[in-house]
Amino acid sequence: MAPILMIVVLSALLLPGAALADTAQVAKVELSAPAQADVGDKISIEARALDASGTGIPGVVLVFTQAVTFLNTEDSAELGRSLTNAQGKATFTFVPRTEGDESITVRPSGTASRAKGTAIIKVATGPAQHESERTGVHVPGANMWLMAIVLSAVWGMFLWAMAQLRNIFLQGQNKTSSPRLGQRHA
Amino acid sequence: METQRQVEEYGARLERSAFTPLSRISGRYTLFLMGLLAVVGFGVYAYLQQWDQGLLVTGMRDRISWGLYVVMFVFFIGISMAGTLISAILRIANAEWRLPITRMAEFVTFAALLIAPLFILLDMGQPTRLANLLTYGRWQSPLLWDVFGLTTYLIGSAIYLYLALIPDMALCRDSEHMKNHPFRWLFKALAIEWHGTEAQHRTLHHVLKVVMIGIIPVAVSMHTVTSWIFAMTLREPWDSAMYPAFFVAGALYSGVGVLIIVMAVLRKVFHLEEYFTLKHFKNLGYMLAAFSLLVMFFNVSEYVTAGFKLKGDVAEYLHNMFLGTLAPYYWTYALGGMVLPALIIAVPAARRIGVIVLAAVLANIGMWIERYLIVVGGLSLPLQPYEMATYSPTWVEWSLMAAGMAAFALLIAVIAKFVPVVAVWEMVAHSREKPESVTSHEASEKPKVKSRPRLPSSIAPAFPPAEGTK
Repeated sequence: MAPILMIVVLSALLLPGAALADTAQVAKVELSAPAQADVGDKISIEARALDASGTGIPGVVLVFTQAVTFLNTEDSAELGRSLTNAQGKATFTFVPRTEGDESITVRPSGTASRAKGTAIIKVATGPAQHESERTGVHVPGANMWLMAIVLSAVWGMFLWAMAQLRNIFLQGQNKTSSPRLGQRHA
Repeated sequence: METQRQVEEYGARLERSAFTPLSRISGRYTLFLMGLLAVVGFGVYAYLQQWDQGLLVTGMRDRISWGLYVVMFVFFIGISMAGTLISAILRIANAEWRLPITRMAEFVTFAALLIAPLFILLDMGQPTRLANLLTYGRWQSPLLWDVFGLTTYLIGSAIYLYLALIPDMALCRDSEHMKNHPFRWLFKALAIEWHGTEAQHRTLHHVLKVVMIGIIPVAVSMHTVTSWIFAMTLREPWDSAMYPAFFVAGALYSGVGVLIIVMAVLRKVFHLEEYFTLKHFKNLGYMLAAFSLLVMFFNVSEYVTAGFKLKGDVAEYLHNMFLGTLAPYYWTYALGGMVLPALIIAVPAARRIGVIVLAAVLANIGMWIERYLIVVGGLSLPLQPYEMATYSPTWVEWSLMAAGMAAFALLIAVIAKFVPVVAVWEMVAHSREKPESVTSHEASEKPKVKSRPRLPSSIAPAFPPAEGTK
């Protein structure tokens, strides 16, 4: 009996809050984050999902992402997700691990809404330094030009081979002045 | 004098054997082509269904979005390794036994590289989406690298094939057998004034040497980039730095297998028993066995490493592959397509042409299944906590797969009617340099053929006797 009662009570408490809002309603996302922080600081980021009239929407899953790069590829890595409360607010805690400008973006999950908010946090090297480099791995010279150079070298070889066909053609036209294989010049 | 006579007879016989198929089209050949065209035609009908209704007519859905089309793409890319391996690598190694089979290996590469990208077009649903590649393609994407790699490999292989063809085109132009050939003008154009002068030979050998060395890294990078399409995607079954080497080994294995099959078919159809001897089948069989061991090594290394760590959902994936729904496929591939071909070749009594061809067929069935396991098996593992995804190809996909294979066979059959399937000029030059190769060993393996009147050799203008043979 007790477990059933517990399920009924928990359902009554959790189900209303568990109902997710339609993200298509989200017209704007406001993001508030500290402008500066040190590496290792626990930063609280607050975001609000608003409808067209500026009213907060509860039950929206907001996705927090961080800009990252690898070999000149720019993309975003998901930091985490948070659900908006009755006022349409969601908070997220983030610990920057690298110095430099951290670009944080928040947007509703799914593709129904294109609203997003972005904030840049200037992260300085603090006492709790974890890493000194920027997010991602930056290999000098490893970019699209490297691939272009490699491809150009290969295609250059092909072009050279095609050019040699012209030589073969010309040598064939001048066959009277050139001995055949195995024959000696007179 | 006797040696010289045997060499001349060999040249005349070779010329006749190589050129006769070019100037005669039999009823059976026409029937064969019609059969292949019918399969391709049915594939076109299936494609029109896909064109009309979209990819919904396939078994691909959101969870398994790559199916038979991508499997066939990887399979044909693998086959394309045959030409590079046999022709370029063995040419560098100066393995003389390769001479009769290099041309065919280059055919296989060229045909496979023409067919492979068609499956990407099929996978796109609509060919107009190809434009998206140019509009939205990113330099940083392995998909775009694959486009560059494939284009480069195709062009390089075409150049390599053509370079080695020039002297034979001159032979076609000058041969008595080809006097009334309707495409003699084409042979003349492709021969680019080749008259076999010393200067021309020097230039050709120099260019061939550079291109054959250059084509090897291009081929390896092609297979590497194809493997990166999988290995650089965030999916645990594909999360392996070993993939490029695994793909190259698999390509070598299936490439040699297809070459053995094509060689057996053309040998039978064009009566080339004198040139494609048991020795060639045995040597390719040894290579097949060696590559099967290499593929086995990668299998063991890959799955033992992943199995010990069981990172993420790998346990579920491995369980599904070894004991679950994919198990029949995996064990057919592992035992029937990898272990059995090697065992067959290992038995001396089994080293007969028919049995070696059987091993090659098994190897290719196995490698097709392996590609299916990589593509479909890899995608079947869910990213979210759901059950394993399933995929059943529809008749449209099966039809287009059959059409792709038929188109491959059709290309080989058509090319073989335009170009000698053996490199006549290289074999004649070799027989003149080393007369013992045709007077002793080759002669011992020569099948009993009805003697025919000796034909006037038209090889002479392009290949005058080398010094010392007069």
